[in-house]
Amino acid sequence: MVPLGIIYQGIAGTFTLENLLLLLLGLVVGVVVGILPGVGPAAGMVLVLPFSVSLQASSALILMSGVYFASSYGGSVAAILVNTPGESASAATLLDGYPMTQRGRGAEALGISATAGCLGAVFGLLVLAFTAPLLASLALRFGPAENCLLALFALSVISAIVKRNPMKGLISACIGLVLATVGSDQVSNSIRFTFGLEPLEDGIPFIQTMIGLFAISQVLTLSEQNQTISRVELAGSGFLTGFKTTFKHPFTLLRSFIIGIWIGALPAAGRSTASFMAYAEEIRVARDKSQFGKGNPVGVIASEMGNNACAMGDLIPTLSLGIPGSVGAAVFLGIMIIFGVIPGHRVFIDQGKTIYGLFTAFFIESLLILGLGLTYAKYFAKIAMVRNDFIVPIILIFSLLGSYTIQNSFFDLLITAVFGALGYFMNKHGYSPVPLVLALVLGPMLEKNFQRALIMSEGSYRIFFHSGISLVLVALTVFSLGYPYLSPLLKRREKHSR
Amino acid sequence: MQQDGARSLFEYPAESIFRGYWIPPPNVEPPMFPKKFKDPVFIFNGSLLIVFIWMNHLADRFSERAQKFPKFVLGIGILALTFWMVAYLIFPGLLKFIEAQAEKEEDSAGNRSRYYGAWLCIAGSILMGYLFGFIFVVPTAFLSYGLIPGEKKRWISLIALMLVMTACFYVGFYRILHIPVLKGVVLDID
Repeated sequence: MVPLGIIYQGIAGTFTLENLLLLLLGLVVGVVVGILPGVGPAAGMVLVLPFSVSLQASSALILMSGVYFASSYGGSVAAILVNTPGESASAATLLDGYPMTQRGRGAEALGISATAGCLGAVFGLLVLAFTAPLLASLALRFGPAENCLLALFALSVISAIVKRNPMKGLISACIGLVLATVGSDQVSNSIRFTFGLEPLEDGIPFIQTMIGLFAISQVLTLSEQNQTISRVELAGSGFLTGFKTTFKHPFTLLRSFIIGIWIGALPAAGRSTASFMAYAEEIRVARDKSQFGKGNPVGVIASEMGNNACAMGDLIPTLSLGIPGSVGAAVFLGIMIIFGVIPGHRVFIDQGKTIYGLFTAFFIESLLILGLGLTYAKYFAKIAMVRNDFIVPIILIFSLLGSYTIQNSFFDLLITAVFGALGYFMNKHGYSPVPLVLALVLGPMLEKNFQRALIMSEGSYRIFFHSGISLVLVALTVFSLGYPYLSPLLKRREKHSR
Repeated sequence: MQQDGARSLFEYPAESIFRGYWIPPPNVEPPMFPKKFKDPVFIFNGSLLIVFIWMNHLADRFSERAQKFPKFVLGIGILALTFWMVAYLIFPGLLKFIEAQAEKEEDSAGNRSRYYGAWLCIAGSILMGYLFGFIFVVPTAFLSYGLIPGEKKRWISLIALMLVMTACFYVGFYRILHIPVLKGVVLDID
């Protein structure tokens, strides 16, 4: 048990002028990098790192925590307003967030995003602060086979629910998984499917692909239709409406929180998995499933709550075990080590002042994001009414910039353009690019765990049916793929039997 | 024949095979093969199936460990695509059942010339960036969009915004972050 004195010192240490200003700076940088497609928390923290080397460990980590946390909100702003997720974890938010913007309810969607995000972060912090070591030990019961099946389950759920066309969702997910095999194999280092192109040896670049699928296809769609993003005048509903709407769905908040915190506790599962699974769960329990994907606030609540709870949950294995739960957490872990904060089960005692200062900073940031949203959401939402002549070139420029700056390579711009064409086609003909993106994110983790499981079992596939957790996950995967077809048959049989 | 939708999926094609000619199920269009082959979704799925089969064949050249996962994924993809193709060509009732719950796409018939104009804008921006440096993407994107698919109004505000953004890019990315935005194949100011 951590002595109360350490906790108090940590909390008090955050409330110095220097730390509060650094917190605010981190927040602003985080929102900006979150909005820019392709930049994300990892790149944002790396950009800020050179300016933080002269700071004390606790101050530097407070600055980084602002970037790490606020980038999630920035990513959601971009997803909601221009259908372009700033990071992969925000991709679930656009499924209902962007349709809300098209109906003139962008400010409300931003309000829901900030409120659910704040609640997810605050409650996630409480869980993190008091139960991190216990959750970490439970998470260790997931071996390679279980992690592989969990990723497969997440993909099957998303494929089944997006656009309510499981067959096309499955095809989209398969495209993503096949693309994820391009490049060098993580275990045996063989080069696969590169066709002699050297830039592909590191694999299909994920961020450039995501920018193409969402941003460039959006540029094409907006150009073709020649209308503003919002197809109606901005509705009177604003941020406060979104704030109140969030609290009208307490069970959604609870379910999404549990999913987010648990997925975050699993090493390498990631926030995109949490946000999609929380979204899928809400569809599963909803009475009227047809409202999802058309601007249903519940969809935004679920994805944002899952995402932000997972952001805190990500820190459980990161701090307790030194195993990062996501790319952003991995960079955060590296920065912690640079500043002498070594993760492990004793970090809460040995570095308690720094760690609890960090938790306090997260708490303040979650409240500030709410305030930031309250002040600026209605201005952000007006982006949806900006003429195409301005907004389309801006989206195009920032998208190409996001692709270019990662490796300063024009090959990446070609990748973005190709996937832009693919994304446009997919959207036109009923394929959702979301399973493809998720498959690209989860593919490497899925394959790595797949291969590890087979090595452990000496090539036997029985390992995937060995433990209770594996069997449950296999059953859930099959159920999620088959249920969309079984459900109408069962309803028809019930109707005839009456 | 039963009118029940669930049983008609298999009954009509089976009857068709038995009689040697197509008996269309009720409420399902008869297969008009030439039109079906022109459907973009059919062409996309068909091409994908061919690509997956070819990649599955290429995977034989990898080591045993390296080929397991790609073959697993390609196998699922080939199965799914084959199932879809068979349903599309031979069992349209089955396809209708599969896609019965799918969201109906909004009928948004866009302007094709604006679509091609947008592609010209994207391609032109990337080409200018490649030749002269990334910073030239900014003015190219604004001017080409304004000229080609844009509405060709408010030139002054468009040009003003273009100049401001170019200046911000230069200062922000080149001067502060040292990202090489002035390095191209033809022009290299770095």
